[in-house]
Amino acid sequence: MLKSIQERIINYYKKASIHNIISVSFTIVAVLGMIVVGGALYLRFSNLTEEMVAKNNQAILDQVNLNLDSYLRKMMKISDTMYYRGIKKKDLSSENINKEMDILYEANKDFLISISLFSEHGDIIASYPVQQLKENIDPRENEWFQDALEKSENLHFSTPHVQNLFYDPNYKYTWVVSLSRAVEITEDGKAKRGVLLVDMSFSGIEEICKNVDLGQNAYVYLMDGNGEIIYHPRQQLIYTNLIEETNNKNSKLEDGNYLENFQGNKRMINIKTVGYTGWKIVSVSPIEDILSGASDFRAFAIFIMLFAIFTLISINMYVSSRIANPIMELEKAVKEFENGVDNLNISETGSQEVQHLAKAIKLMINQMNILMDNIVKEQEEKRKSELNALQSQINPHFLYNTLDSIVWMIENENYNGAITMVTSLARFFRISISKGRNIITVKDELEHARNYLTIQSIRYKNKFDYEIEAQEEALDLQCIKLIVQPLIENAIYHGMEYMYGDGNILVKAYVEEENLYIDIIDNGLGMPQEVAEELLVKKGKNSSRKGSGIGLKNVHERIQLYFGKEYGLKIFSEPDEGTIIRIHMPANKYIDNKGE
Amino acid sequence: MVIRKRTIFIFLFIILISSSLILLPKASKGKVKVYKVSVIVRGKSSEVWRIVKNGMEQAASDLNVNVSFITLIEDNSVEEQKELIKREIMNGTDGILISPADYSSLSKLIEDLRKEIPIVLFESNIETKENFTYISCDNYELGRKLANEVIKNGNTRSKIIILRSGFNISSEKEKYEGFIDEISLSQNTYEFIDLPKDDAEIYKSISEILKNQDTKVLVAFEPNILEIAGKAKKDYFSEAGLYGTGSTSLIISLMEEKIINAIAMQNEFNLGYLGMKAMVSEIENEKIKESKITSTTINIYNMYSEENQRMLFPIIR
Repeated sequence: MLKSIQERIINYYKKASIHNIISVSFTIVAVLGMIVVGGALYLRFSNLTEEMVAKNNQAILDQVNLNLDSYLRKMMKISDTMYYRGIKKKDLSSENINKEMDILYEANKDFLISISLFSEHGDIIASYPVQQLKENIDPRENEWFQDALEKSENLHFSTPHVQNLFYDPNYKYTWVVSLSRAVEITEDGKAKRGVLLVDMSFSGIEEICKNVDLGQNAYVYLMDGNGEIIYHPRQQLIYTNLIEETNNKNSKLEDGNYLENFQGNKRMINIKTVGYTGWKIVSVSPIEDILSGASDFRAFAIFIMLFAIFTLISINMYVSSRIANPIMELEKAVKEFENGVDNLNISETGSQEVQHLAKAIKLMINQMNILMDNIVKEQEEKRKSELNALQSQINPHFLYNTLDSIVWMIENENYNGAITMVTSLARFFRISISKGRNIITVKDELEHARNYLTIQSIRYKNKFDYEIEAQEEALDLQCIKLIVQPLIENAIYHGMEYMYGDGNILVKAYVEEENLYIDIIDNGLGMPQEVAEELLVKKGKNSSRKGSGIGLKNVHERIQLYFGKEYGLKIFSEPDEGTIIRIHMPANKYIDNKGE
Repeated sequence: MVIRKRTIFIFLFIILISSSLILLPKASKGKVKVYKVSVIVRGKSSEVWRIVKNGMEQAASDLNVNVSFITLIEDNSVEEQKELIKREIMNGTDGILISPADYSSLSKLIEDLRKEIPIVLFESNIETKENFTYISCDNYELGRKLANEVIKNGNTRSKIIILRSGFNISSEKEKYEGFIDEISLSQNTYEFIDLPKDDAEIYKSISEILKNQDTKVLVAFEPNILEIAGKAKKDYFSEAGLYGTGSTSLIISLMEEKIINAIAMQNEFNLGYLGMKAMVSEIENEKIKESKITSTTINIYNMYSEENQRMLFPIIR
């Protein structure tokens, strides 16, 4: 599975375009980077928040502890003052301590419910505010009384309970925390044991714990060393088992910071022990609350991350297209070049390297094109000169036969004929040479043809007639040298030689729509049109053995080499009817310049 | 290529926008809806409903509820309750938590109105085939417990007078039934006495009963009557045993004075708290968790036990 995914990825990378590789890779790296950085930041932030909350809770607990401690000390001080300044100094059989109690109570009545002194047997000796003990109540049954006498050296703080000692005309029942201690009472000079009870208003403790601001759902509760709850913001709910608290478990813990799982919620617990009483202040902060800030942060971070990813992908796409597009264009151009497209448009955009590359390729292609052109030209030149050279060769048979004919005429004293022949031959050669030019006027070319025809008609004893017609405007046009003569030669050899009747050869030069045409028309044997068309295409020499050795094809090629593929020869023929060979050339005015 | 790029771009942009829409409100949530709940009890404004009210207020503060606690001018007045229910609905309350003053005559109205607004019954029930949420302790069991307490205190062949009132209230009726069923198992005899409406008249007739030396035990299931009986007993120095239900300060105090021998009470704080919680669940259409309200008997000896003092004197802040 993993391997196939890996293979797929590798395959994708092998096949992917440079643009995709860049944008996908960049994006993956960027997204991974964002996630790693974002995640790390978030973790760090939430840890920091937790630490901060823990520290903050600790500080608040310290403050609560301080307040509670001072509150409890105040109570103890009241008890001490009562004992050492009042009870100890007086013989209660003759004196009373009402005044001292009064003063102390009035000074601290905000958080005091009552101060009372009991004898060892539970009888009330003094109390302030002066109250009547309930009939059916025995103080000795109460825990605070027993604790005081059992451990007489200590002061004892009770857990909250309802004050039930005194008769209240309004049937009021108050929750108090009792501070009790064993005291020594002097009655009639005798020392007796007694119990001093200071009932603190529960609301005093409540005030200290209630006004603690830990956060929305966080709270502080107070318990004694055994885990008995003294204060809890939802005390009654715990008392009536509607909710639970982890007080019993936490009472065994040392002071410090803990994490606990309670009813599926993670909570942070801070525990602080209050001096002397062994009470424990516990702060409870749901982790969810602590991290609510962090979750805001997380949402924000995710948003920022998404935004950054979005921006990055956009930028990546832009940058990669900026990098890749010129390369791809270049590649496209090269592909086109491979396919042989001529007019390549290579744009020089993109980065400096790509521009350089494009320039180099452009230069290279140009160079190549120049070289190619040169080669083609050279080849053409070569071919031209080859053909020209071939053209220049005069069939020795023709020369021999002509000279032989002249000799014959001289021997037969036909001097006029001989003169005509020699003159024609001389002109024939003069035009053949034409000072080495390859292009001559139509006029010269036709003159050349005429001389040839003159010689041949004498040689063939006027076996055929000939005629040369030319439009006036055609005469001054350009013509490739020695193209008409070979065609006439063909016409004579293939058309006239085997003819029984009178042969006729017509040479016609005319201009039509900027084109120069020279038709060589004979009424010889002719041939089927298919055969005629093949003559120009067939490979190898199609010239007759008897001819000047320069065939139709040569003429055709030469014209094409000089003027282009659209020009050349066309042959129209019909058996027993004759043949028309049409030379087609552009109608260019002849300009006399040396050489070409 | 360009089209593909644009689709990717638009796709990403939509993701960005939608994620911001999803994430940002989530981050800034926290506004809690505050419900308005009307509590209609079946008694006068008195201490009788003190602990229940405490429980409800605690739940209200826990669950963000605005409670209006409505008492009647006259105890167990059906007409008044009918008026109050309509008035509270008119006032746009979100739910009604009611302790019906009559088992049968309120049924139709409550059944009809429940279609408009969530109604939860507590303390006493109505006659209905519909599935109402009803929060209360087992009143029959509470009656039995009280009878047991009477027997335990040495009444084996005593004449017991049951001061009857509110017999057409389900909770009261069940208490009587439980009491009678249990007491019938003993050799004790019992008798119902119907009381007049006026407090002074009640005092008078109870005094008459107490003068009768045959009467060994008096039982009152209405706190109001128990208080009057207690006063009468105290005034006439009667030796008759006095039992009942209720947890007013006067009753507690009379118990401490040994005028009242024992009371049976349900955990009223929990009744109030769970009643309000059920009300909120009903409003929010959530499933209500089965919750059991406990009941117990309290006498002078166990009234300051840790558990009982917490029940009798709830710590409220």
